[in-house]
Amino acid sequence: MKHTDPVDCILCRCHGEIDGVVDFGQLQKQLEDDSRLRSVSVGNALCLDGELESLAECAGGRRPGKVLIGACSFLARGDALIAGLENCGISRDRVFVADIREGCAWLHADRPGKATRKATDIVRMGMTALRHREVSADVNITVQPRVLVIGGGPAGMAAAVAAGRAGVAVDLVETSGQLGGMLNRLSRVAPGDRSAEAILTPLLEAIQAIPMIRVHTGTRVSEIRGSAGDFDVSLASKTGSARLSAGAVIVATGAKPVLPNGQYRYGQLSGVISGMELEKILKVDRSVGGNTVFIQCADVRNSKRPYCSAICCPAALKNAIRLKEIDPGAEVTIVHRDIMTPGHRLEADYRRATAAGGCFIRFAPENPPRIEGDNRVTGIRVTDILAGRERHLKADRVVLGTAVEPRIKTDRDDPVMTAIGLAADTHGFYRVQPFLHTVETDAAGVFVCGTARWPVMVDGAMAQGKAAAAKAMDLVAHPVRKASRLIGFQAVRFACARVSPTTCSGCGNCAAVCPYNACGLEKTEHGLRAAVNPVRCMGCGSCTAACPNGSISLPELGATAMVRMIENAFTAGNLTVSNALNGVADRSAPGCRDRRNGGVVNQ
Amino acid sequence: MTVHSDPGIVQNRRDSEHGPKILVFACRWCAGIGADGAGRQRLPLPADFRVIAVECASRIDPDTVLKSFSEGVDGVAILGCHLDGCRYNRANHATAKRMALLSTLLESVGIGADRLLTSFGTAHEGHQFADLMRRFYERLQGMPQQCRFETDPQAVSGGGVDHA
Amino acid sequence: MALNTPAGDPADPVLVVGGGVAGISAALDLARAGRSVHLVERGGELGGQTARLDKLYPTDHCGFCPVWSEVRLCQHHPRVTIYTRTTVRELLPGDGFQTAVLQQTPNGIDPLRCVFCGRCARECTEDAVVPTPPHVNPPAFRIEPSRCTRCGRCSDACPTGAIDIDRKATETRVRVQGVIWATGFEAADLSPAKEFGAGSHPDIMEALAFEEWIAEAGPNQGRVRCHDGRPAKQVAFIQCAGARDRRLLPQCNAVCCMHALKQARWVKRRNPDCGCVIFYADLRTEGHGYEAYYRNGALKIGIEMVRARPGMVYPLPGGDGIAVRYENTLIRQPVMERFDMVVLNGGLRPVVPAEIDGQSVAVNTASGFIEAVSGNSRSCGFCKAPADVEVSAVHGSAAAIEMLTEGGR
Repeated sequence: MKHTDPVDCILCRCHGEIDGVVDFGQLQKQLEDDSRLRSVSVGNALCLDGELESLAECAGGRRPGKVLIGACSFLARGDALIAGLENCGISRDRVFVADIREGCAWLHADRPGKATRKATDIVRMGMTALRHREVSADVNITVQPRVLVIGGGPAGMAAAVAAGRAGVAVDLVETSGQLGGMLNRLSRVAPGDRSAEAILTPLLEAIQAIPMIRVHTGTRVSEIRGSAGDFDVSLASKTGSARLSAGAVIVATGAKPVLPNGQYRYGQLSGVISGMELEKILKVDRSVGGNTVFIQCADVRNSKRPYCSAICCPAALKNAIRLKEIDPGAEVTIVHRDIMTPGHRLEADYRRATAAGGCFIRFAPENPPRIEGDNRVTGIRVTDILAGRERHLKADRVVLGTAVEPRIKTDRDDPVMTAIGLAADTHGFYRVQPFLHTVETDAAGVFVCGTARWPVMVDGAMAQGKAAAAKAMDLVAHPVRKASRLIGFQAVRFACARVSPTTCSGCGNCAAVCPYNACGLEKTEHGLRAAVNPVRCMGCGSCTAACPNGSISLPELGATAMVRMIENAFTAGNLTVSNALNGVADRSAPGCRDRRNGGVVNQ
Repeated sequence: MTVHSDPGIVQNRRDSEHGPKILVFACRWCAGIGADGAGRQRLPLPADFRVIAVECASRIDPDTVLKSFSEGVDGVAILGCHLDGCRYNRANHATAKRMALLSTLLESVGIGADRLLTSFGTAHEGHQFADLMRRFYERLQGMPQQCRFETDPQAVSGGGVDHA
Repeated sequence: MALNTPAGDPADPVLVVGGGVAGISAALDLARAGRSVHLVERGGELGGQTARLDKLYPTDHCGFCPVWSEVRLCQHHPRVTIYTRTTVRELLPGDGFQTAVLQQTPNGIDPLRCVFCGRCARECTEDAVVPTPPHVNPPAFRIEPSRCTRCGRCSDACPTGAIDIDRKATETRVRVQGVIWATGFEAADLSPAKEFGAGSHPDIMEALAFEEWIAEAGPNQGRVRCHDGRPAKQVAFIQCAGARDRRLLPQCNAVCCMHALKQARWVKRRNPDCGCVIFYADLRTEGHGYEAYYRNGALKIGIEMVRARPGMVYPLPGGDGIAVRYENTLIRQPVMERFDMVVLNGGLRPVVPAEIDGQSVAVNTASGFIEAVSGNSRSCGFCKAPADVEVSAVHGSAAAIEMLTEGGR
């Protein structure tokens, strides 16, 4: 595609919506006089009945050029116009839709003269953008047909099973000696009262049954390099190291339990235990009796950990029900700030706990319960803000809800993951994209699920694992993928940054500012020069703006295109067009440039 | 379409107004949606502004802004998404800082910081875009018109771009 | 526009019922994996409830923006066939396949031919021609059947022949190999819970209606006003209104606490002088980024949180605002406070299409939610369990991959 390719202009009347304000007579004349356009034609409603396609065909004939359309906005029908031309073989790179409806006629119906001049400028700006548009290089990524799943808990296992069943090879890496994660440590699983085995066993069986899933226990990932489609992974275990490749990485590394040190005399008084300790007891001992007080929000939902850990309330409820079943005479009380049981199943558990005889006392965070006892806990005192008075509860056991926290707090502590573009949020959990891309990260091909992403219960972790597998499949199920299509929220990225090595001074501004770590400096024979990773680049243009001498650019909207658009922005109403430039002039040649009121256009 | 009692007179008056020229660089997400919304609702606006759409406001460099002023544009508006809403992983944060620095520079070279308007996420509805433009117009109307600078026609800004 | 897939089509089409965030996520993941998808939506456009929200928590993004780019991907995907204004009338069993009978009730104005010129709306004397909701792309007009007198003036005015006031409903049959229910939620009728005063005064509003009322793209352009036009100075948000209540909705709807915080926050941002009080039972901030939004976004901006479940909400005599009666548990006294507006949050229920009953596919709706897991049927999003946008999207993708890998088992 060259900037000297002929440009055919097609205007849309939109049944009077545009030409009822914009004087098409004048507009057409201006455009027809413009030597940069090969033809100008007018349609009634380009979006309907194939009108655009036939006008484009007439204009292009045997020498297809570029198509400049003056019509409605991209969000109205502009998008469809581009797609329509693509269907008849005119690629999107060759089409520009200049918005003279929402952007002009509909805003300035009360000043048609100015609207006409503005429409002319808008079309001219579109023309120069189209003339100077270049096409970014794209790369075909040979995708490794394997998925690396880091972490063998419920999220990781669910991801591995889903990917394995979908027919993709999976490497499931787990640092401990066995798969299962939290499922190995929980006595029962909320919501409801399911056994951890009932959830774990089918997963283990499925993993066993799918030969495409390779399990590496007692192993950690020591290094990952690369980008979407082609990650180079180093594993380390007691028996040695291994290398493998993966097309996608699913991070399911979980989170670590918060030990309530310094909270509620934990560690000083026997009988004050953590929620996880209670799980352990309940797994083996069915004779756990005595009065129990659960204290929720222990060292979480405070300024140190300003988040709710989601799992501690459901855990307390299920265990409270259990304790009442074991010892119906025991007093079981849950002392809380809020009971976090969203949804219908967890709310049903809350009702069951109440029905089972559990008591609930609410305290205010600024007035937490006080533990009583000398060597052993005997009770607690708490100001019940719903009853408006202080209470004294007997307790043989105080259980402090176990929250989870991220394994790693900042990017600095996490070089393995940072190397592939993972970043931590303010709490230390891995940062993910918002809303509909919530298991995806800003690093293409890298996904996060389970409590590594955010505190979540087993069902949610498994659902996220499956979702991550579904997203990973889109990458890994194809032997070859175009880098331009890795951007999640649209079909194709806008551009891929391009470096001009002859002018690049190796300053590194682009590398510093790139949101995707796609720019780096590499050694060349001339010294350090910027280099763009064409798989990571998403085409935002940050590098372009940060470059001191324009050595890096977006081909689809380069500096020349931008400058020409600016120069053409306020030129209509000045009717002289330089005919000396028949589209064949060298772009560096000086043009006829008038001052101020005469100003017009060259190139 | 708007109906006026004396269409000819009103039109002539509006057509002959010379408003300040504004160049708007709008990202095609929040800002583009706002501009489109204004058009969809047919909110009447002065016609002396032009919009250049970019994929992300982070594309806009100080050169582009200065080039605009040197072409005789009276005001430049950079419109992007709100700071936590950038589709490109907070790329607009750098833009916000860059434009803030540029503002101070504009003061010192006599163009004036008031001629540069930045908005991140406050112009995503039609009426917001329209209000923003009207307020900018009013602000610029109180200032002298910009002159077009003499530039060396040989020097194309961004001269490092390869020509295919 | 419907496709009848031929028998033995290796693409094994899947039916996705519901075009909200869950349905869209499922449809895209299925389509990308090579399956063809029939995406059925009963409303006029895709996006569901999320696209109609003014703002989203915890990011304060606009509701439509994250959704419309996904909608666009669905619209452009060659393997996704979208049916709007369509419901599933029946699912007929077959061997290995089911036949879905789709009922399409197209609007008199064909959105594919409408260029949004608005002449129809200007010609209509009954206010029966209205535009699609804000941010729908491409925009179009539609006829509101309840106000249409069938005079035909709109149709005469239309330059593109988009209008046919006699446009009939059509029935289409498609063969599908699996069904994913993604029908989402709707506002529940709160009138049985008389204590909330729903319907007794225009300034006692249900949460979704309030969202539209204060939306930037809404009738007040973001301003917080009572229905008589004066600015609202005191707004109360009542949580669990209708929810966690065995009379009406036993479940906790999971999203309302955050929804109220978001609404209160935006009320304060637009009108810092407006007092906002949230009456809550349990403030459920367990989701992704919720607690931080609560602390930084809501508490810091001066929203007052009162732990109480008000026993009565009623309009004060003389049109002087709305009264909220509750117990201040710290002083153990009943209190009455006056507000300009009261927002009832909590009354959401899953959409369970009547057509699901009597299906040959086992679908458990005993809980009120569609908990379908059998062979070739799945559910996702709020119709499966109360879920916010992120969780619904995760459900959708999970349902898709389950359908791809376990379907038919």
